[in-house]
Amino acid sequence: MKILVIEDEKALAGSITSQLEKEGYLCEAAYDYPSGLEKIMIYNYDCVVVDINLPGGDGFSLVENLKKSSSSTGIIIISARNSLDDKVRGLNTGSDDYLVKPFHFSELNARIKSLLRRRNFNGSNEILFHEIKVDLNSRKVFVNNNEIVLYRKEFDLLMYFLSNKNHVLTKVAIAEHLWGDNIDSADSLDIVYSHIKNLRKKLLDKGSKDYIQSIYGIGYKFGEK
Amino acid sequence: MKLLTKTTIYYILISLITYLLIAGTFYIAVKHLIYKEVEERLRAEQHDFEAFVKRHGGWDESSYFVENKIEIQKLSKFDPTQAEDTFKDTIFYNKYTKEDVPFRELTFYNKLKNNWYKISIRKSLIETTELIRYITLTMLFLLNIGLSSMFIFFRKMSKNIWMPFYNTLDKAKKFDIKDDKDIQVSETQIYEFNELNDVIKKMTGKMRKDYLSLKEYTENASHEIQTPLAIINSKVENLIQCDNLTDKQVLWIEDIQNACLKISKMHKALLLLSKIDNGQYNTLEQIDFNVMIRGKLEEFEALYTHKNISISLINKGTFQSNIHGDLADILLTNIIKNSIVHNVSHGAVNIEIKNTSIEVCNTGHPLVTVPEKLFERFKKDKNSDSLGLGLSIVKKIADHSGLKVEYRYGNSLHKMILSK
Repeated sequence: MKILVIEDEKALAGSITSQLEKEGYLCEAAYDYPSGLEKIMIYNYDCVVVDINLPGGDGFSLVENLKKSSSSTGIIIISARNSLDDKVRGLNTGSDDYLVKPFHFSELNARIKSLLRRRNFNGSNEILFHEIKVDLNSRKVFVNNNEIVLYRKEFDLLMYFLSNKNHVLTKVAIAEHLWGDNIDSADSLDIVYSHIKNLRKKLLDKGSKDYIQSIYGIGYKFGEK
Repeated sequence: MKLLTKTTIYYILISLITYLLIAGTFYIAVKHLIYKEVEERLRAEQHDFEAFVKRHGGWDESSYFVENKIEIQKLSKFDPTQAEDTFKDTIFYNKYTKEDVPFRELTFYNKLKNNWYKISIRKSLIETTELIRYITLTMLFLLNIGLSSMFIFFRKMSKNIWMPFYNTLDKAKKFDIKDDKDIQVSETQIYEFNELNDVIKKMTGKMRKDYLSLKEYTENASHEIQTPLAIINSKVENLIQCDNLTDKQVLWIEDIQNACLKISKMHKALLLLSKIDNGQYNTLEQIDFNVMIRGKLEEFEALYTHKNISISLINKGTFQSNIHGDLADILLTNIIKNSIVHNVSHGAVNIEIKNTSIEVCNTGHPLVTVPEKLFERFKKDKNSDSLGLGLSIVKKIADHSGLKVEYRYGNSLHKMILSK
């Protein structure tokens, strides 16, 4: 899987690429419009993460170019502009997703994963993690082939964990992923806790191992210990 | 009152006064002229009379057979030094026409055969009053025509002269700061209007420039601040992924992340406030608040079920308003979130929607500040984790959208009332 990150802030581009590489992607970065355009024209990527404000050009036109040359590439716009107009314009020019800065890396990761899954629909539409199996079409979850019934938010939470395996997720990132920006009070962190408690209990009840580790003070990590 | 109406009223008042003055002066002048003429003729008759008396040594009444023409009175006692000729107006009854007739009378004294006589000779004024009347009427009529035509001409001219002014006014009314072009006012022949147009052009030009630079500033500020925040955030996340952090380091990281998040949210909120001020949310649509509130309650379900807050929604009517969709969403989010976040566990929120108002009533901690103060920026409970911008955004959106918002506290219940 090849991903291109076009972002003029080198520090940000650097930390995105380094984390994506940890996820096992082949990652490249471009820091301005011309080099971004060059890379798009020469190579093929599975996913391009592009900033709108770029030195030397507009990210929107990169998206347009990309759409023309290789329509199978997934495009995620990352931008500090959070007006509705910009979002609508971004999605209309052909990007698949629009993420407003600052974002949690885990959120970007989850969106890239879900985008790639959607792009590669011809393969299996299931996610397997040891004894846990998720059917993405029917949104059903099985542990050792026994279905467990999850509420919508619990399902989203599990998907978020599966997209960010072995990755520490902060409570805030989880809360924002599940409920959006609106829930920003201290209460939301307690809700995260109770949702995680419920999810863990449902998984354990059907005989799954406990993959959810709580990381003191920060949040949670999903993966083998 | 319109400018034209005002000037017309002044015009009518002044022309009415002038009209009356002219009419009065004219009347007096004509009357004076006529009296002079009559009196001269009376004088001539007086001379005739005196000449007659001198020549004949007496008076023959028969030559003056016309009624009331002359009257001779013998005076028993008379002081010739006091003899003075006097004119006066008098009225006599005309037995033929059976009406009172005005006369001018000259009284003089004459000595006749050693006796003094008081002689009054008169001339009828009947033709002259007629004359005055006709002259006055004709004059009034002509004046009337003159004044009315002046009046019509004046109104037409005023309308024409003020036309560029009204054009400019119309343009200024239609001026929208968000348009791409400056206000277009046409050149006129009148110096003052050109000046006014210039001033309006300059002012709106400056307004537009300020607006654009402010807009640009907010956009840039948004980008320039969010980007470093994004970097801090991503680096902190990198740190979090490190193993073998000490508990202390973890707490520091958490603090950095929370502070970072808070700045980002505050920044977004302030940006929103200035965007509303800038009029970037002026497209209105009809929003059904009942539907939107139901959606919001679903969104916040996790939050209120977690706090064991019971919610009741009573639809007593439908609240609809013309408001920007995003603003309506933010408005309701903030009001409902406020009622849940500042609630106590096992508390209650009651939402009542009527045709003209929405009342959100919730239990909560006792209010320590004055309710009105809550709408100011950065006013919040000491122990609250919120930014203190939520209600000021509510207030701003309400003001911007022509809605009223009120906060009441009583019987340990907090009540937020949104009304038309």
